[in-house]
Amino acid sequence: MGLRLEGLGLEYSTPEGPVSAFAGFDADLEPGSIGAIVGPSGSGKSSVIRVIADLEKPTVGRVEIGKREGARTAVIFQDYGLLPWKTVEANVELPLRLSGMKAKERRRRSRPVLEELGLEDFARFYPGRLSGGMRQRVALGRAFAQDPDLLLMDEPFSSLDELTRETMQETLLETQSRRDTTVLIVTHSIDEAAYLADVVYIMRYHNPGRLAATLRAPGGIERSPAYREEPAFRDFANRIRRALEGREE
Amino acid sequence: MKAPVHDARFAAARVSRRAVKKAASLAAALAVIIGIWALAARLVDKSFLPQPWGAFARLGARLADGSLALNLGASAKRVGLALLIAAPLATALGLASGRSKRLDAFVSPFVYLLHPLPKIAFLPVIMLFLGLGDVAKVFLIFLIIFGQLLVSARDAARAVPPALVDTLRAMGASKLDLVRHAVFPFALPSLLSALRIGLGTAVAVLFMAETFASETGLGWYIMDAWTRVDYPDMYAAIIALALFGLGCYLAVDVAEAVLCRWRDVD
Repeated sequence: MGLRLEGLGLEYSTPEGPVSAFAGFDADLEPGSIGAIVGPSGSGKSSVIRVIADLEKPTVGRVEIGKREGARTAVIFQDYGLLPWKTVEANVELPLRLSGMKAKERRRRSRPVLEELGLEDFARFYPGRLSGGMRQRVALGRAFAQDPDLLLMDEPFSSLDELTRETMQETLLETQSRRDTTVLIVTHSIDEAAYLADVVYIMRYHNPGRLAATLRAPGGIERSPAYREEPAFRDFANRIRRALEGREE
Repeated sequence: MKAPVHDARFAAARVSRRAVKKAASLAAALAVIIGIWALAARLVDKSFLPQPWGAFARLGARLADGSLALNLGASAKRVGLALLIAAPLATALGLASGRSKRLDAFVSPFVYLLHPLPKIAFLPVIMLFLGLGDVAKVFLIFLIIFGQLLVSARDAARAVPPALVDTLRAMGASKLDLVRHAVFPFALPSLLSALRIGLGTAVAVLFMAETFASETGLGWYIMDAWTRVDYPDMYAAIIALALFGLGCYLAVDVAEAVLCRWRDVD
């Protein structure tokens, strides 16, 4: 099991009374697979991520992560969450530092990740000097330096231009497959979900947001830039679109 | 995507280039001020406005015989002591109340009522309570720096982007980690700006405070020279006070260049 969600739901308490963010979310992701949550704004996609990341306590339901006790979860938010006052290196090492790891060991862990993502020459740069794509690379590096069992991503590529976004999707796939990390990504982009995900969770706003459909990617595909032009990819993207529009359940 | 040199080295070069530029523009402005002074002195032609070189010569002489240094030291000690006590207290309380609604509900009404009051107006009250010595002067300057830093720290701590807080919390950061890695570094530029304003006001207020029942400090020295009708001496002390204020500004600038290097991005 990579990630299992059972009847998950969240209510926020507000001065006007409780407001339901989402309800009845079930999911079962295989280890090393990629899930995508797609849905309109306000359907509770980001709230699902926040609950799994333990930033919010679920009102109902259960979250199970990983095969072992103490499974590690890393989160990447939309604006990367990089600390502008820390260098690339310090940002990547931050979660290790927070876990009490010694500086030498941190360096030993972060160096290969920086090299893998082509960031070794930028280790001493502050994020403000990097392009959007590079910053996203740093955020990926920081996530993978933690060697997580589960990587949660909340619209990580939404502020990137189309080509950079596709390059980053490739980078994510490469880094993820090398480690067999389970990934759950929230995205607005139908193409992104169709390209990256083994399982797509369609959320719709029904006050609260609900899981409207679970779609599985066609079997036997190999994700590469060429796949984006294949009929199987377009078909899957169209199925996601129809499900979002409520034409396929 | 090759970066041949470390960013830190670029940043250092940029900072020193900027320092040279700044020094040059300050020198030019100083030359203009001295020029206007010299012209005014010639036009007025009275003993109470000596030529700048007379004042500067006296400044040199008084610095050499140690009398100005003694008073400069007394003033600096008062400001320094007040800063040393106020900065950590105001920063800690401000950051905490910016992050805790419960604490803020207690602190903010006091800030709202007390911050706009001109602290110098309380000089007589403070002197009645704390006596005519250094304690009253240090306390007055403490109030000014404390208020300025407290408000800035609180407002900056409130403005920390929630995404940064979430990111750190998702990494398992404790409250102390949050302050150390996000809240304090985020607030630091605002704190230094507040310090700049606070120190400016503090030097002005110090002058007032030192004119009462003092026998040391630049404020006292200026008033004393005035009553002695020793105008070059008076101007020498005014210059010393101005240089002291400038020194405070420069110290904050240096602190900012060192501690907020990350902001030096194009």
